[in-house]
Amino acid sequence: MTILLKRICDFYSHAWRSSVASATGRHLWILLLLKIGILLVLFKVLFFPDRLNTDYSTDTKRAAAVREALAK
Amino acid sequence: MPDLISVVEWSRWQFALTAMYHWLFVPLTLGLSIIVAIMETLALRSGSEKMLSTAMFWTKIFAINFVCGVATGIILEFEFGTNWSNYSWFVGDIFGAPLAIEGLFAFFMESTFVVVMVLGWGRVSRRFHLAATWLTALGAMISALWILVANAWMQYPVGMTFNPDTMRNEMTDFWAVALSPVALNKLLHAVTSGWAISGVFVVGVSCYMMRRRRDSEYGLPAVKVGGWVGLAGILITCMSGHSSAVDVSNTQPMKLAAMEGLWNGGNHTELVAFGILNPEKTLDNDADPFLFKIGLPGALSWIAKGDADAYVPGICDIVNGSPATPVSYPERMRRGALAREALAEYGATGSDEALATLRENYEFFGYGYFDNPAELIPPVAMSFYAFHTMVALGGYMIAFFIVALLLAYKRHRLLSTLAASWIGMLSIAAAWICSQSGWICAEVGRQPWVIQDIMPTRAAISALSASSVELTFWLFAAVFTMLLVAEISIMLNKIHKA
Repeated sequence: MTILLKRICDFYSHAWRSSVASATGRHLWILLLLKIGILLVLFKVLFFPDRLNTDYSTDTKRAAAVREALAK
Repeated sequence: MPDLISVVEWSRWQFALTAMYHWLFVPLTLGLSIIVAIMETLALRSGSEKMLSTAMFWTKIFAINFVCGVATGIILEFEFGTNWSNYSWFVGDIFGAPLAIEGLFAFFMESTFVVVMVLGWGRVSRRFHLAATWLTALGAMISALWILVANAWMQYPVGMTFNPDTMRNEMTDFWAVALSPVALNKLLHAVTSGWAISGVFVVGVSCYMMRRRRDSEYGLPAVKVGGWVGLAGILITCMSGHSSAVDVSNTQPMKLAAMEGLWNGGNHTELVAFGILNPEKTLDNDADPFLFKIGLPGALSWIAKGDADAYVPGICDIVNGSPATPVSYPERMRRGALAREALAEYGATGSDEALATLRENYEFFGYGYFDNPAELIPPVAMSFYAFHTMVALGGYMIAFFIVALLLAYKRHRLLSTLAASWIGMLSIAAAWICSQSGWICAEVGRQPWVIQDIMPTRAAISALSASSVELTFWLFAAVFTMLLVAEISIMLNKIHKA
């Protein structure tokens, strides 16, 4: 089991090294990190809160808010 | 109300922008993984070094596309929580299950094996690598399945019951949701269209590379594999498209009528092969729906019902009630209003009578939001032109693959000409336009519904200001444009250096 885990770790560390060895690989990593930074972190935190989870503390209150919105 | 409409419109634009950007990459992931897997299988079986190097090159292109596409779909889930909170709550139990399965199973399967596929050359055995490539392709398809199951449920809501206490639609039959005919046809149609788009991409890029290297044999293996996969893909897409049309005629007849610009239906209904719509035509006048058209008599009846003399209702027939759609829109609106009032009363009093009224009329719940039947008609022009663009370009793609394969086997020198290079490049653009048109047709054609008959788009949104959604729309537009430029540059650079 330990040997298998070591081989998997070796595989991923080699994969990482070979991926950053080429210019294309480096560009892709930069692109990926930028995307994660801008889209998944910055946009999510600043612009995309989960409205019902943020505005109401319990499921009962959330259900009541949706009922109010849909039935009014 | 104007602000509400504006919020709805901006939220729709934002969702459309994000989904269309996401769909630039998904078809290539679906198709290139299959094409590379076939190339690699052929290389392993034949021992051909040329086929192996072709497979390795296209694996790199696959990897670039994969990285470019990754994380673009998650933004859609952010938008559900922020812009579409009523919708997210209302369908949470139904929508959540397929998306959770997608996240847990398919995405992890795909991401695990994609590392072996892309970076495992020479590090694992050839057979293990081949297995990883096929599993990546399978993972991509399974991933698509669950997204399309969720989408299909919105178009054909089955296997659930509405609980007015929790205000959620609760799943009662998982298999009815997962195996609904709409979902299965959507899966086949979307996945195999990805094969077709990727086939065009591989053939087009190969022609460009053969021209650039002035070597008419350089890209031949790729043209042959891409051509066969693409041809198989587009033929299955056509067949599943036919099945989808049958589904639409049964479950969303208004969408079918809008796709065909059919205001007044009847027996032996014609299919419009080409037409220019009359912008003056509305529900309230008798203007001719077309300024010009070429129709195929009986063809729409045959496609929709399998009988050239069958009855197909038009927009006016559906609104007023017809043999195929007996409940008229005014009646649906009346019953929808009853359901909404009953929901409000049940929320206030918990009355059993109100609950019974709600349950009795729930199938028309969404109609209660409308005062005028005209509001229940989807944008006819956009549905019609998107549908006909998709069909025309799909037909072109069949011809493209047949010609490409004939040339590859009989006159391969012609594939390295400037003309072939240009046709290949323009065909790549045409393939994406075809695919995006298909989604526009599917999604615009089902308006005003976000869940067919139950929840209109206008009721699905959160209480937001239009300006906040507008701001994030433009932010997305700017970021997506920059990312797309960077992504295309990286891909072109790789193709150039091949």
